[in-house]
Amino acid sequence: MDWGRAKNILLIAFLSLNLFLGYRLHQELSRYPAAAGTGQVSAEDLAKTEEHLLSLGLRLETPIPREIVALPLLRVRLLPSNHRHMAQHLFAGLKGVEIIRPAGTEGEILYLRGGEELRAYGNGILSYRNPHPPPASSPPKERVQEWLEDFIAQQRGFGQELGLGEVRELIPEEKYFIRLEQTYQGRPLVGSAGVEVLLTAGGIEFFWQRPLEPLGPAGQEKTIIPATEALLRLAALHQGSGTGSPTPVGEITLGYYNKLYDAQEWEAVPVWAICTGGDQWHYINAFTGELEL
Amino acid sequence: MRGERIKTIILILLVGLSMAQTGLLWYGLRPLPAPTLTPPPGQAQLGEEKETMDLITPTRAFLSLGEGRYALLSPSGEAFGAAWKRVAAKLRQEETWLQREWEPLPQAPDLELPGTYQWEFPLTLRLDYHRDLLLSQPGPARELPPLAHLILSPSKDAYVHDGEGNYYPFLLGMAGAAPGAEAATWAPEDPGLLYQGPQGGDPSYAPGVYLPAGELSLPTLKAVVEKLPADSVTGTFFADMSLVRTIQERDGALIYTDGQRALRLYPSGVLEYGYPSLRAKGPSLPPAAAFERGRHFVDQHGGWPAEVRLSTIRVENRPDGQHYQLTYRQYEGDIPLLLPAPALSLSVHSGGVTDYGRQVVTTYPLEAAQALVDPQELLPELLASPALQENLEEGEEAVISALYPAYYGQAVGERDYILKPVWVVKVAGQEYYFAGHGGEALSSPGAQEGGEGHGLGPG
Repeated sequence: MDWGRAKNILLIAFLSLNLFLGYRLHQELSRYPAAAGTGQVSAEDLAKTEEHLLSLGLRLETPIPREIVALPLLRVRLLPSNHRHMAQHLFAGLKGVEIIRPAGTEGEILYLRGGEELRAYGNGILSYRNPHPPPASSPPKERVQEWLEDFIAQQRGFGQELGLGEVRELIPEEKYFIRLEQTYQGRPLVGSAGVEVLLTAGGIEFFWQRPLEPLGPAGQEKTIIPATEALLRLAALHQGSGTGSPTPVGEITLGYYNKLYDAQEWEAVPVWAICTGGDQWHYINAFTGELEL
Repeated sequence: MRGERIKTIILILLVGLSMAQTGLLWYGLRPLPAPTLTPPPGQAQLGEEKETMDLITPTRAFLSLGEGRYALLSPSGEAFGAAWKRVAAKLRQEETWLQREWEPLPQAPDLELPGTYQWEFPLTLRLDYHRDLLLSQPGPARELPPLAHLILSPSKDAYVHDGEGNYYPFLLGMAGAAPGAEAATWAPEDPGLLYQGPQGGDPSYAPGVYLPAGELSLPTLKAVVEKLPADSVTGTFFADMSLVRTIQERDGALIYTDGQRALRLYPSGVLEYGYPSLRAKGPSLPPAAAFERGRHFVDQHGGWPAEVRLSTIRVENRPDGQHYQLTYRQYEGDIPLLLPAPALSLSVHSGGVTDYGRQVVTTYPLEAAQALVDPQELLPELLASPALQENLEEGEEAVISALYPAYYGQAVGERDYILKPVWVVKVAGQEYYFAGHGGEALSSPGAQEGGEGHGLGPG
């Protein structure tokens, strides 16, 4: 038997086999980039997903994020309440402000002056209403940027690092809806978190905040599902509930989900936060692909 | 020669590389799938597993000793066990359930005949439910009489009592000696286990209601809610704990959730679990299948307490389909523990178990046994009470359909209950509670924390 020749044949055979397997592996990796730990969704998959979503009744109005990363859970706690400081800021001092602790409520505090009202709830939520902000000469557009800068700087003083999430002009009302996001390592805390404001030329008409403190990662990092998969999961749930015309998808963000728990501390899971129809938020668990309930 | 060696090394490397690549392709590169509801086999069992029969088995039996005397048999006793074992074996046989005719007898069988057994079931379920549960397969869709008591005469004739005074012959086909043949010479060692029919004609009692012949003495007990080890119990609910996050509630409860289902463990030991997404509309479920699904769920999620029976089964038709609400009650021997919440509660849907509650207690003696008041002395006040009269139809006679001792739980502290003996009287479909030591009327368990002095409110 000619061992040398046999080896040559085997070498060629195994080389061919390895080349074939390598090619298949490459194909698989590009189909499931999450398998590699981190990566990017391919442009081809993005296009296919967009087409598929449309057939399922979702129309994208924003690009699909391509990133696939590994993230841990995030430990989060309620920030010690700063309602007094906020009351001073919102009421421009506490002169003439009545402070009430309503009976039968757990830790709730009410600040009242005329029609103005700030409620600080035991679960950390601050909610302010002023149905009649004073009239102002300058249109609200000129005030938005200034207000944002002041507010973000003031919140930094309270240990809240906020970033701009959304500024939307409500044209007939001449008001601005502003959403500010609290972030951890560049990723927003979504769900019951952050700040929402309705700003008029005269000042704040409505304000909502839940100040949280990200404490750090919990558990091991896990590779998340790509945004394409989260969108398809949502579309599958959405299918059949539409009105006929496709529902617009306005925002797709990877963040940490915070539900309204009666808790002081919890672990927030990475989610794909998807906004449909202008104001409907859906949170798809980025580990399991299930809709958060 | 050197070239051959290099070729050999390269060949070995190529073989290794091909194996590695094949392995990667074979086992796949996708992220791990989402966890499934059913944990893999081999999960830690925290309580014991139970057979279907264990959960619907009678809570006590009366053996007629003749001359109007009856021996109370408790499930933990030898006499109960030996006799019931034979009956249970027959109930598990398919041929037992081939009976076609179910006509009530024109008159009740002689329950006083020495050696006659009367088995009392914890819940009056129709016989076709019993059949489907015990045979683990649905039989013909035909409504059979409800089973409140099973009567077995010394001549081995069996009867089903529906709790309303109707007795149906049941062709059990018992072989060998009748279980109660020794009754004529048998006498309970504890005189507290000797019972007799109610004395006097007023009020009226349903057949099968017996009262202690002498004084019944029962101790006061203490009950502590079990606290399952969090690490073990969470592992039975979530297949992949790396997907589970925790939430420390301000009342001290700890929530474990993967976003779809949540497990809440209270500092008191109470456990709550919910899986709302399983409530998606699905096909309806036969009662036996719902029961079995619930039983397997408890087997896998905490296990069963030692003495427990099915106490209610209710069907709710909701927009998302049928939901079976099952509750289970704990017993101390033949005596039920009446606590504000059932020991176990489940909501079963065709999608699976959507809700599960668990408050299992362990009992300890607290005070020595004391004699209970004579329950017959409590009845005149009850029968005259407006609360009871309101429940009666016009012209309807108040008939005592059940009268038995129970332990009534009053919360003391976070995890503890004091279990005091009470008399439970059932009239016109409602239960009324009276303190065993004193006789005062009590509200239904849990209706009023601390519960005493509520008056004659039905349970």
